Amino acid sequence: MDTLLPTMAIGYINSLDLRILNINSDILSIQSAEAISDEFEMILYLFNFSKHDYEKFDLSKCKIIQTVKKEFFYVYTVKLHYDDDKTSNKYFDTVNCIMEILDAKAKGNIFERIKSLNLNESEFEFYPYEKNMIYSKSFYTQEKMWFESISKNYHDEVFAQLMSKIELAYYVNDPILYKQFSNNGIKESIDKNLNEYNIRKKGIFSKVFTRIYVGNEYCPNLIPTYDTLEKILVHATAENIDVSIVFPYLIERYIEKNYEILNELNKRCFDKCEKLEVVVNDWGMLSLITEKFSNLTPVLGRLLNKRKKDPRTQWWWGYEKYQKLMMENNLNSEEFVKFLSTHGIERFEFESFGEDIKIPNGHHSLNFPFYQINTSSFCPIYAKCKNYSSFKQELADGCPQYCSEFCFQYPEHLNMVGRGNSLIGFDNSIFLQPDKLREYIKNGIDRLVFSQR
Amino acid sequence: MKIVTPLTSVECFEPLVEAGADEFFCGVIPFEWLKEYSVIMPINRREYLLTHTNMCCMSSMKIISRMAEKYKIPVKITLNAHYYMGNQYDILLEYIKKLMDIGYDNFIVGDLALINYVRQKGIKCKIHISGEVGVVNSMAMKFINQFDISRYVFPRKITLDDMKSCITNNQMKGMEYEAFILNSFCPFSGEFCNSIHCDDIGPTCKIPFRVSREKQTVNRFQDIDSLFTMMTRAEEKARLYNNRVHTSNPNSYKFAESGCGICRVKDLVDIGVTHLKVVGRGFLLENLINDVQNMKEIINMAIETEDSDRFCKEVKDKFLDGLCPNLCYYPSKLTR
Repeated sequence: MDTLLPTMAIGYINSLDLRILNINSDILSIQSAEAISDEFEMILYLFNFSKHDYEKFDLSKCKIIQTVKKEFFYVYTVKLHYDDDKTSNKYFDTVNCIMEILDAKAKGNIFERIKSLNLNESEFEFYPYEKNMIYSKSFYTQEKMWFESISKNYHDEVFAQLMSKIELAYYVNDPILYKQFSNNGIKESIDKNLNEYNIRKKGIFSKVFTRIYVGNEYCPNLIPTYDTLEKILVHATAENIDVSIVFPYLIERYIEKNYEILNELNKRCFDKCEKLEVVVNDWGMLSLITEKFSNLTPVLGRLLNKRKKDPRTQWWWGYEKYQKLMMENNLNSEEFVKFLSTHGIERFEFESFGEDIKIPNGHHSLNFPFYQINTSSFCPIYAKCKNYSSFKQELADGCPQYCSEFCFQYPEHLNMVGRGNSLIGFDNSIFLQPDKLREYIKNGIDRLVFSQR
Repeated sequence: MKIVTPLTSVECFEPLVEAGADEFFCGVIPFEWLKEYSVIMPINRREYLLTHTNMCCMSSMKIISRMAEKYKIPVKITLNAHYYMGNQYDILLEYIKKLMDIGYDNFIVGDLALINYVRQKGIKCKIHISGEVGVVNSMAMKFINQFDISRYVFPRKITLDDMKSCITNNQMKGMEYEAFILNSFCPFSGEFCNSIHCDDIGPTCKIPFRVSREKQTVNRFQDIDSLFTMMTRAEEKARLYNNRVHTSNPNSYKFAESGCGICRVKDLVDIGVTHLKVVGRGFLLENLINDVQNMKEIINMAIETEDSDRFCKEVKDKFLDGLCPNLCYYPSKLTR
């Protein structure tokens, strides 16, 4: 007999838990760290595939029919006894199902088998692999479709009322935007960009932008130089726009470069008697800021606010049952929030990604409509363009920014794109569901951060 | 230099010790966790119900503790999920205490909130910072050192030069450093991965994609653009024949094929890395035995060979028939 998966069956004798090595009808093979006396009561938990949960069996008068004493443990062969036929029938049904599924696993078609046994009590749908073959004509076509879904759903009055309570920020996050904003100013650039997708002054954008985020959270090769930052800051001051500076993770060899930018920003703040927000995505960056730069206020960035964000969760077997658990992460731990507060972090950056989030106490930001799924420190697009394989990766030192022209296009139904070194998802729920935004505002979101790329 | 080896069952312990394992890491999902949270809210980064990657009872952990005692091989417990829910930190604290009671005092942790909580509650276990925390600079080490850490595990994607600089600048006496060396190369960085990893759907890095152009009129990379057009057509034809995400045969095995850093072992020894991690929870035992045996031999070669370039060539010739697998952990040489 092959060994049973440990997740499929667990036994308990009082508080002693036991590994169930094998099940053969009403004979179990058990591995125990301690000796067991003959004739014992056992609670046996068996995995029930249709409920995605464990069935509990209270078994009295279990009899040991063989004992093998090994150097470190015992292996017992045990015959089970059932108090009634109902228990016995349920036991055999559950065991037979487990064995059938595991047999299918050995043959490589486990989920087809689960599907064919019609085990699911709910309306669970398995992942539609056939849709992985369907792509938009181009990424440009797909992106246009995304923003059209926004422009067609205005909810003007509802959003006007909601947006009066919160701040709206525009994310300036790549060299093309840095150039545009430093040459043309803030408001003019924002208007032009939103008009391209016909969303200026519609819905959420009926609110005036009063802040910009400048920088990139994912790639150290896409952060602006201090000179570029200075030009944008000058415009921001003239136009009375607040600024948050954004940094990604911090590579060791870039510590000095980032230190110089932070130093200049800190000096600038000191001269103007003001403070500046800095979004941090690395504990080392936080350490730099809190140690050396008292005029900079750290904000917890998205790479440090981790949670499962995957456009395929609706097809994840078992997800529906445990969905509410996914609303929380470590920012719902009071102790951790206090720890962050002692290091100057009060604001956290969240993302709209289609699932509900439990926002902790305080004032926080919500980024939309793009959310981060995955990021690589060795850029896959750089690897693809330089080495013709996204797997042949290396650190992109002296990067020519292939990502300004190329991206990875994914199956249409997933609404995601490989941009630069990251996989980014698109979620339009904030635009389509004002109730969702209302709920976020009620729970502490006081700033929306919009990124157009 | 020690080899850190994955352990998924009691039965694997002795064969892997015989093969040369110096240390084990393993995950345990107690039944109470499975019942309440399943693997949807995972306790570590092996989020599978239908693959054998974790232990599920304290009985197994007691047995392993006895083996560890006899063979004097340390076993560390992976609690390397990126985060937990607010009310789970108390539960995790109880697990840690239970495991410490039966002889485990080394935990590899991926969530700073858990580390903070454990230290706040006065638990004096040893903590290894998982690669899932993503420590790639010495400033982060200085920040995290406040938690009395005994080892840093570098994430997969860091250059040898940056690793050397981190070790030099950290200046913590007695600190250990662990680096990935074999198997399971990932196109993305684990510390930034928010993808699901489950029994039925592959991770996002396995979703098929094609290269497309951003909406730009400039075309600075015309040669690359033309090549991509041809490649896309060829890849689409190939995809027509197999549209499943999982294409690899789980039973096929070739040493170092899924992720390799073996030619850099000498460099890693020289810069101060103390432990090399073989990835493989859930892998076949016979493959892991082969991996560990080969790594043992490679480490001996690294100690005996003076010249790094010569070592690199000899290792590739002996273990890879002179041909590197494509999935390279450390493509850039150490600057000497």
